[in-house]
Amino acid sequence: MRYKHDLAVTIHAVSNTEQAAQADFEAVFARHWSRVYGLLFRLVGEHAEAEDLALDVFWRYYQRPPGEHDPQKLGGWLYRVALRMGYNALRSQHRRRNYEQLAGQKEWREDHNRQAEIQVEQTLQRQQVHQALARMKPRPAHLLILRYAGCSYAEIAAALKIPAGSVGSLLARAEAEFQKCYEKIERGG
Amino acid sequence: MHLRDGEIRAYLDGEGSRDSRSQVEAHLSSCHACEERQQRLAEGAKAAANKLAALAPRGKQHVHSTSMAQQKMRSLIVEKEKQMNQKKWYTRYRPALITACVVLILGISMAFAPVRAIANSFLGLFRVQQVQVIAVDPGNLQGLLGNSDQFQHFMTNDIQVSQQVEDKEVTSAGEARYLAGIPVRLPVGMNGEQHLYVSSSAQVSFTVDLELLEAVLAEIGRKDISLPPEIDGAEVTIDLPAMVSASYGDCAASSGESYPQGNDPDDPDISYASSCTTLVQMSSPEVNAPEGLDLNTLGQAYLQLLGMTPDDAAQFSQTIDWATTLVVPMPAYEATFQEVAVDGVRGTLILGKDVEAGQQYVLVWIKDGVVFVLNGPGSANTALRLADSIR
Repeated sequence: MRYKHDLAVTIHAVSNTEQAAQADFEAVFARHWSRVYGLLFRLVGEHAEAEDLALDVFWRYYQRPPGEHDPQKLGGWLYRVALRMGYNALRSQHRRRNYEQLAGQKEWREDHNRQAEIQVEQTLQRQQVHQALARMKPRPAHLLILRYAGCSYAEIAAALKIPAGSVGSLLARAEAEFQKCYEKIERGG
Repeated sequence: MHLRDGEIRAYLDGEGSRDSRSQVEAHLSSCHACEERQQRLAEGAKAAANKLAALAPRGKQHVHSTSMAQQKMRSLIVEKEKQMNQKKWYTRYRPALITACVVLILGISMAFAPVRAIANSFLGLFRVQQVQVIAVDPGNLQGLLGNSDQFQHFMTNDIQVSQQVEDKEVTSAGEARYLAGIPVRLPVGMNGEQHLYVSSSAQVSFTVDLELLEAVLAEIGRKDISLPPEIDGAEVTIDLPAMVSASYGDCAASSGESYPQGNDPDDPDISYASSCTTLVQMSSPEVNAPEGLDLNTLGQAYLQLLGMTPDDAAQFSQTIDWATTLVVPMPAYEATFQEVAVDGVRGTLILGKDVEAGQQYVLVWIKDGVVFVLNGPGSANTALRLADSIR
């Protein structure tokens, strides 16, 4: 009987732990979802793909939480995983995007409707930004994405595992590098 | 001293402490070079911000509400966990999870052998916590299976055995204990020469092929039995520990059969003679089988196969803990069985008549994770007396 009692206590404890873990997960999800999605959307440029990747980020977290309880560090972990996945997707799409760009230009020449023109311009600009980011080294590219998705220096530092005091100088350099890559692409390089 | 780019850049973003910001501000108001650099950096930041703004989600691309995403996440978790279970659904059960697959396939192979062979044929296959004997009327199932090409194909091609089980004759209980890794217990005061054998351990594995099983059922005319679809692809492995057999009296094993004590799975009857008594013992094998199998439904299919009506099978299946119980089907006309107290635990005593050998018993019990099967000629009293003498 003693054994049965112990077993019941253990089962109860396990199920409580599971419930707590589930609640924790939901809270983490609610807190970080839109940022994670936003980072990924910026990198892949498509809602469905960004959403799939973002869900995947949280699935990874669900499966193997990093053991960070500090919300900032936890956010840093999630953003880091998201950036890595998104940036990989971006680079692997790079070639495909070149074709898309050619197709976009063709479309622009054929369609003089102003609305469509704006859309095509936006699409072209996005593609050029993506191309520039894809040409950069991962860390400065990640830094730009984080910054322009609205992350604070402290969040950036946590995500990239760099000292908060170095974010400013790295950001300035990343912006300069981005500018160079972008201009080169504009010139058709 | 001039400001560093990083300090200026942080200042532009409104980052840093109030103190550091005031210091930067004070310096910028008095240093033309740094002010110029600030302008350059601000332009660079603005240019980058303008371009990167193109990446932000807008309109339909906007993230839908977090609660919708959360719904999707919940479904995704359910789906992923299901997938994972399908792939990685091995759970170790000890002493034994008799998955219904194992029961279904291996159980059949032993179901219809004469009573005296049951011990050896199933002991070589399972370790269990409980044994439940049921009376069935299987009709000519054994014959049908024997003639089923699909079933033969499965038995010969699909069941993988990691290594050939070898039997080694040893001279003492100590040697047997050393080889098998279990405390070997033996009866006292037995007539006849004692022979001890240790069968090496092995791993048996197979993957459930639902289509093949259904083909087998069709071939033997039992299409009415339905199997749960989730068993398809289930990988089942059984770790069989070493087994110790002690035999006394006139056992054909002593004549140098490659399988002593009727252990030849292809011919379980081979080594029995009327005066041969055997005690087989082995620790629990481990069955690694898919978690989440509907054991009840499988058990029900198994019982139906053995001749129960669907209703009886459904009802009976509910009463059995299929995960830990070995269900031994006993053709009702061949033997009787009863629960008995033996070795301080509850065991099952099976009594049967053999045309040539007279009355035979099989006594099965499980103690301290070791399964014992005592088998020989004689009555219930003989069986219980011998079992009591085991030390």
